[in-house]
Amino acid sequence: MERTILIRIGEIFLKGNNKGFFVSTLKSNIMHALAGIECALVNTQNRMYIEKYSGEDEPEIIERLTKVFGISSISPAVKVKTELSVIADACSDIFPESGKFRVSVNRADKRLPLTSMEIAGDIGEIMLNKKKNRTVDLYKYDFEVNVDIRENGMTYIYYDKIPCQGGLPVGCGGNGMLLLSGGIDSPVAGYMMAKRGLKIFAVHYHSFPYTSEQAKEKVIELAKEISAYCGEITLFVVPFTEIQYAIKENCKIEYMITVMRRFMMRIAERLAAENNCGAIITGESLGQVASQTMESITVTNSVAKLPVFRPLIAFDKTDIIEISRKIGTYETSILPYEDCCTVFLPKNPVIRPTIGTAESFEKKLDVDGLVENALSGVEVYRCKY
Amino acid sequence: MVYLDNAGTTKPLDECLKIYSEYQNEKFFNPSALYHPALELFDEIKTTRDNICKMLKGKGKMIFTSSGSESDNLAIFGSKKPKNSRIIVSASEHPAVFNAAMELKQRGYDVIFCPVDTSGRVIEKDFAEIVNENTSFISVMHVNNETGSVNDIKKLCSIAKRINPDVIFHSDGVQAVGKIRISLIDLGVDLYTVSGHKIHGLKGVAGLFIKDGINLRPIIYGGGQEFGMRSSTENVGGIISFGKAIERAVEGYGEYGKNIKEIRDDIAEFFTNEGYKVVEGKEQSPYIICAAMPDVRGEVMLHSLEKYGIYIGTGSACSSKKGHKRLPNILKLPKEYENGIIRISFSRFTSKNDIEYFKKRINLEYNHLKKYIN
Repeated sequence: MERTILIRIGEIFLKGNNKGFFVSTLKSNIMHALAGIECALVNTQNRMYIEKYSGEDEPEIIERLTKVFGISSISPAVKVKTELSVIADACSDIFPESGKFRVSVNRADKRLPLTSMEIAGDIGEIMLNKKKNRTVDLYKYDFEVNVDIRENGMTYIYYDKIPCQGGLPVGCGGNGMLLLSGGIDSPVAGYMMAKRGLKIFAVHYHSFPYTSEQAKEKVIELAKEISAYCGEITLFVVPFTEIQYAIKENCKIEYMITVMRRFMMRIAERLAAENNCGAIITGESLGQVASQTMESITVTNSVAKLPVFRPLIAFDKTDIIEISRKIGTYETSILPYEDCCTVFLPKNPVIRPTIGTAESFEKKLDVDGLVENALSGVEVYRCKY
Repeated sequence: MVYLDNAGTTKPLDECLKIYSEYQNEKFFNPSALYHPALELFDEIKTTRDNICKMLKGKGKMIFTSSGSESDNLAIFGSKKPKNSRIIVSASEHPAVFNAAMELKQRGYDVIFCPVDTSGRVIEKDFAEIVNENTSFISVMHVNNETGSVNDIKKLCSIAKRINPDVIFHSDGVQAVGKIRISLIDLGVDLYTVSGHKIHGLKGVAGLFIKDGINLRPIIYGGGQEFGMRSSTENVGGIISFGKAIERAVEGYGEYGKNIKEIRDDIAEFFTNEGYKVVEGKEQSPYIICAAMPDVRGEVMLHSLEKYGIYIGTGSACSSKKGHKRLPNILKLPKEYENGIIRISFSRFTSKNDIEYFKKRINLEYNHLKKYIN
């Protein structure tokens, strides 16, 4: 009996001619996720298996696989030769000695003379004979004995089906540039777009001395936390104070945030172009704050040529918090360090800005020069969990 | 580098580092072992213990711990306190005492936070009214770590003992040792916390003075070291170097103090002229000056100065990351000053040149930052 982990692929299964590309991306992502653990990935039709690992590593392998996008579920299993007596003995050995059970058989290997139902009946009978305290109950059972008979002459026996992330393998949808603030929303937005197959790059705007070194460390930590799902993230930290000073000196204070966010978009787009990103990602949620009203989004969006993905646009804060807790970024997100958006925060930010007004303020600024200058001071961090 | 955050920690003396390294490299034995070199270490610890008590003029024993916070916790949780009795701590205590007292409150004790004036100093009249016969434990810090104001521990202790002679009086003296004159016997305290790294010793070693006749229950159980009151293998190098650090601090006390007072007076005058509010206690340690700037946040100033290699504090370093509001509430500053609190703290190595550079830089930075105030 050899221990193995059975991996079920989700949506990719339905892909047509491109399936090979999705599968090879997933394989490579799984290998990256399991880096440092000795094991082998075996790929058969519609299934993948992790084999040849030490039993001690199994919980860690499971933990990591549950974070890989493109996997719908996994099952720790044992692998035996497809021979009825061997299968039945294995089932009897690994399952509890008492209790109600049922046997479910999936017979992909059609060369076998017996049907699934007949095999299930035979295995159940042997299991009953071996331990007298077991009883069969097809509906109200304590444990289900799953037997998966594959075409390669091997059978997999498993107990649990552990649900995973689903989604598409990271990288198969291209690259996206995430605006990562340090709050609750943006890491969730990154996670969600990675789930749809984007490889995530991130940009953070840093307002030293108004925001501290700890604020930057916090963002690096957040990038590391979501990298458990997204894979390594390249984070660009852009010095933003000079731009804020220039806006403060030249624009009406109510437009401070609007103009600031237009600069963020411009810089993000430049970094996106340099890193082959086809989209910008933000954590905006409609109406959450003044800068996230439809009018504000229109004004900030108007400087971007790339599509801006806003996966949280229709989410309530409580729903976002729930995801943030689930993916493990919440505790870091709520650390009390200021981010650049809270610096020079006007008391009454404009709720319905217009493109024309924003542009009229920007005429007083050397927009290109400020963007170039900020880009020349970018710091790059490679963040990996 | 101009380091002006000495109330947070200080640079260790070369002597202390040398001693530490010698004990780690050559005299690394466990002092509880039975062979001769280990017994020698045991004796050396004893000598250090006795010397520190002598230097601080205390009749009792010094228990070595790992930090001022641990010493405070040992004092608070280790001293005998009848159930539901009254515990008094000052409202401006270091979090090591304040939060430990909050925990006692949770456990059902009648914990009272004694009011303080706007320099963080205990108001003696209020204190006398709070202490009653049911009071079992009192903790009032000697020198406030955020403002440098000095509590009259001798007076507070005698008020308390007059009302209830059995009360245990603890004082956190971490910012006092070597900075102001100390005679534990004169202060009358039962327990007194001291720490190494605030006086150019090493981090990881501190002490709790326990007056003769006072018994504590340990908070760490084990092999029975430190008279059974603090089990753990002794940090020998740390302890011996701590002894040296106290020796150096106490012997140079008068000479350093005069110099530092001139520096503090100079900065106080400068801050006042700039329009900052300077916190002045009725009695004041010359090693700390706390001031508040209008409209500019203390943390922003801290970061602005760090670009130039100048390091200051914005409050207790142990708590300043958490953005607590206790200090602004105590100082009762006008609204525009509330977020502008900075703490400058000196050591015997602070030079007048350092201060000139600091004054020049903070002035430029303040004027720059002021331009962008909403």
